Amino acid sequence: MARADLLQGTLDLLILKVLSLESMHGWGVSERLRRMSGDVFEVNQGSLYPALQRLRRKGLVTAEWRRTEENRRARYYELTPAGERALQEEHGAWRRSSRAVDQILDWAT
Amino acid sequence: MRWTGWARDALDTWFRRDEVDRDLDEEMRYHIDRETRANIERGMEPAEARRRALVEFGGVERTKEHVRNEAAGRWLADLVQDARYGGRTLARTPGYTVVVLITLALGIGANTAIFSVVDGVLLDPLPYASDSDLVFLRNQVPAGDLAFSVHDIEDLRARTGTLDEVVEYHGMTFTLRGLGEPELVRTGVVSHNFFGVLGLEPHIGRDFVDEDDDPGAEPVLMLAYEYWVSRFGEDPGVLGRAFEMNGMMHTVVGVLPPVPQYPAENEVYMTTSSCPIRSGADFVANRQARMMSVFARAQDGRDLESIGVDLDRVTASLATDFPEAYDTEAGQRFVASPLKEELVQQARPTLLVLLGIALFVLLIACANVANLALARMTRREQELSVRATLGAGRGRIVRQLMTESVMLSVAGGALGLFVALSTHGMLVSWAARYTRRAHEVSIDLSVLGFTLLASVVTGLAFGLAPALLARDTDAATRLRAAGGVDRRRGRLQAGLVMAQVSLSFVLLVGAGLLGRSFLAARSVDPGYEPEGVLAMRVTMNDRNTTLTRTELPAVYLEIERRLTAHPAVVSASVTTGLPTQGGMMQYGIRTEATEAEPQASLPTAALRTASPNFLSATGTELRAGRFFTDADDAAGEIVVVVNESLATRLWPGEAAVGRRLAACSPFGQTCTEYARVVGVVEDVVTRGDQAAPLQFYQPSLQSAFTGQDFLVRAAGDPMAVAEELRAIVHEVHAGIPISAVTTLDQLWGDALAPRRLTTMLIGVFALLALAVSLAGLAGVVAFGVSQRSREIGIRMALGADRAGVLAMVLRQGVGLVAGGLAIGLCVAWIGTRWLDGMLWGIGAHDPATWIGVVVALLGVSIAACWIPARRATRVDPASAFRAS
Repeated sequence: MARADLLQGTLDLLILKVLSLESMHGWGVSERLRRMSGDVFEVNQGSLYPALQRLRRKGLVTAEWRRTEENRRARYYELTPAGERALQEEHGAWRRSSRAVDQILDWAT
Repeated sequence: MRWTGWARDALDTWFRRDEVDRDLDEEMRYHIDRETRANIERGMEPAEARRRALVEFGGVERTKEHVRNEAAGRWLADLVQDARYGGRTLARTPGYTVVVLITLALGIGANTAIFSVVDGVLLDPLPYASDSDLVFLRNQVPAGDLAFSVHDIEDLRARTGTLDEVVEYHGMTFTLRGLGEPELVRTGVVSHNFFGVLGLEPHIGRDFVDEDDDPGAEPVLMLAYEYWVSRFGEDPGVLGRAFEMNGMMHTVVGVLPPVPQYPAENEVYMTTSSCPIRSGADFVANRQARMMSVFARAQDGRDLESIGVDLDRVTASLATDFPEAYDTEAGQRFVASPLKEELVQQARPTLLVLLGIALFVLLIACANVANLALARMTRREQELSVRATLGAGRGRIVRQLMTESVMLSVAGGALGLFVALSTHGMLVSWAARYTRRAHEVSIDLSVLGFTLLASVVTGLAFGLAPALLARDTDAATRLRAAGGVDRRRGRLQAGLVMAQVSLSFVLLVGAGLLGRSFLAARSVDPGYEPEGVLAMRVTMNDRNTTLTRTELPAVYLEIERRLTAHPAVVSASVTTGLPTQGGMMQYGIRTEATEAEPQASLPTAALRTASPNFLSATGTELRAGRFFTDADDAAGEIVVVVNESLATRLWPGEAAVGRRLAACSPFGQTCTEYARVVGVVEDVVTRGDQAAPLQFYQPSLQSAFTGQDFLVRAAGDPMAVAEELRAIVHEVHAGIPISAVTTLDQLWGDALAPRRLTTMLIGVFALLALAVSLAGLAGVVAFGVSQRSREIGIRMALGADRAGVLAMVLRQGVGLVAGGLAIGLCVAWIGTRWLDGMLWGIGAHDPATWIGVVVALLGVSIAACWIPARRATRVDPASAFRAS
């Protein structure tokens, strides 16, 4: 549980990033995350869907039922302007903190 | 933007629950299908592809639950769901629900009822404008309080720098004529701006004005609202009508609004210039003719401390200018206290004790309900495990349990409101004996708020125990036979029962001490024989008859003579005041030995005038010397009779008869001439729970006061001849008002009524607490028996006899009681000190009471354990084995 809490903010950031490229459904997000991370992130569906719901509640994404290429109904998520801004802010914050972490780690070696 | 997202989400959660659920299902299904397809594309067999997709996804229901947890407004949806579910669960166990509701209704009802009194009397502001500025002034001397004279009041007004609008009040009873029979009306005599200071405006008509106070002004009247309603049927035409009082016509100018009257309830009010005593030239001129109460409004921003300093300065300057009237050396000073304080100080200790006791009852009820809930948990473990497995978080289950208990307690509180409402009338009349504010007591919004708060807190408190147990066990443990939980529950239950027993013990000791105090007060020898004595007041004076003051005593004695002639009458005597009243006037008593001492240091004694028949009418015994005779008249030697207490006080260890004393008026240092003590009589007690006052008697024909109260001892029931006695009085003087016809028996009993009611109230609370605790104790022992039935079966199979099993079970129960008693003893030992002021004749640690309560509590506890213990002895060893 403690690990999930630690990763929650990160997961939200990654989802926002993926959705900024194009709107897509839940499976698409998890597949895209896996592929973009070079199979490093195996996204747990038990975290993904609650995270999508959370982003919806915060107004960062919207959801809409659409037809997929195989003509099935699926819920597509799309970034809102607020989500766009949040992504930029969060990204900046992430960059700053990861640079700081790197700096410290490099110092040690 | 964000807000609209939240709102839509919340609306979905609350109103489109099923639709949202279907959407989630479809979304999950699509995910799994899509993953299956991806797996097939990766080269798996279709069956294997699907299996892998499902495994990778994990628990669908769990995920759905987690998604729901992220939804906005979830807590409300949960609450509704929990409440519905809780309602169904409670409906399935009606026995449990009903017992809990009754217990809580009694506990919360008791608190609501008492709180309504506390709120109305102690917390609510006075129904007057800016009540916090109103002060009541006292003219303090070491022996008590003096009233104020006209000069006192005028000089206060002139010299104070911290008080605005100093107003006066005194109460009289006058005869009002012009409304059919002449009737006695309680009359408040006030300064013209008295009502203005209190912030009252007339309901109809006008307020008193400055000119109404002027000497010789046309007399005017203000009617109390209640009097206007009962005597004039709310007729506004009463304004301008004139009635004769004290030989003058008084014109009604206004009616007061329907608010509680302070400082006393009256039928009518007049200004100071209309009161024949208050406006008398001698009275006004005499700085020491002290009769009035004084109220004032503090100037803006003046606190009690600065007023106190100011008043000390005023007293000091008065003592310098008029040393004969003020004795600051002996401690005389003017002091101010908040008016509200003045009105409630008698009620406060009793009320706070009662509120504490009511809270104890609620605590006991809480503990009992917690115990019931714990026992119920055993049967609910399966259900809770299933819920946990289906994805309900621990927090969610705790919340479910809490919701149920708060639902119960709020319902119990609502029932408690009915309990409070049904006891409301009784409580108000009880409170009226302690404070004039009793009629302001009502179940208002703040009381409802209190009840709601008490209910919710109660629900959280008793829900806590089972919830804690549920929280600390995970689903897996609960699915297994949960031995550890049982042990913890056992300890919790034992603790709760001990707490109940200890609290009950404290209450029982308190009730026992008060009960013994009441019995002690009731068995006090009043110093007279109240049975068979009728009391009535005949109000005859030089203002409502054509008689002069000097003729009055003879007329009273004539009435007495004729009453005595009635065949049913054994003896009749005219006196001032009733034995249950201390006496109309308090005097400083000076002897030749205390000639030089300041008046403030003299003992004060109550004056009673009495005719020679007094002892035979009341049954009071003569201790030494003689009582009055017909020879003790205005022409005879001035004599007095003292009671034993005064004799002992003045001449300890010596004979009082033959000594001389002088009575010094509280209005000043003017003393009567020395009178010879001719007799000593036994003490007359005013009420059973107060020490007998110092008293001295003057012969009717030698006193400045005319007795108005007749005490008539009859051979049979005195009330049976009451009408005939009235007729005899009217034979002597037709149309004279006769009032307060009652018996001394009644008065003596009534004097103890406040104590009796308080004792009964606390006794009822204590018994209530005891009953609830015993039920709890029996329940826990029964639960223990059912848990150990297998063990008991084995013991019996191995040859333990029934007595042994009985003893084993009883030992468990008695162990709990002993534990509770030990705690209770400590709490009560310290706690009963709060009762000290309410006790009479015994100490807070009265051994008989304490031992009695311990023995009684042990006795009924064993009886309560007996029922489940008997059941234990009927355990059939064979079926006990089979059950496992």
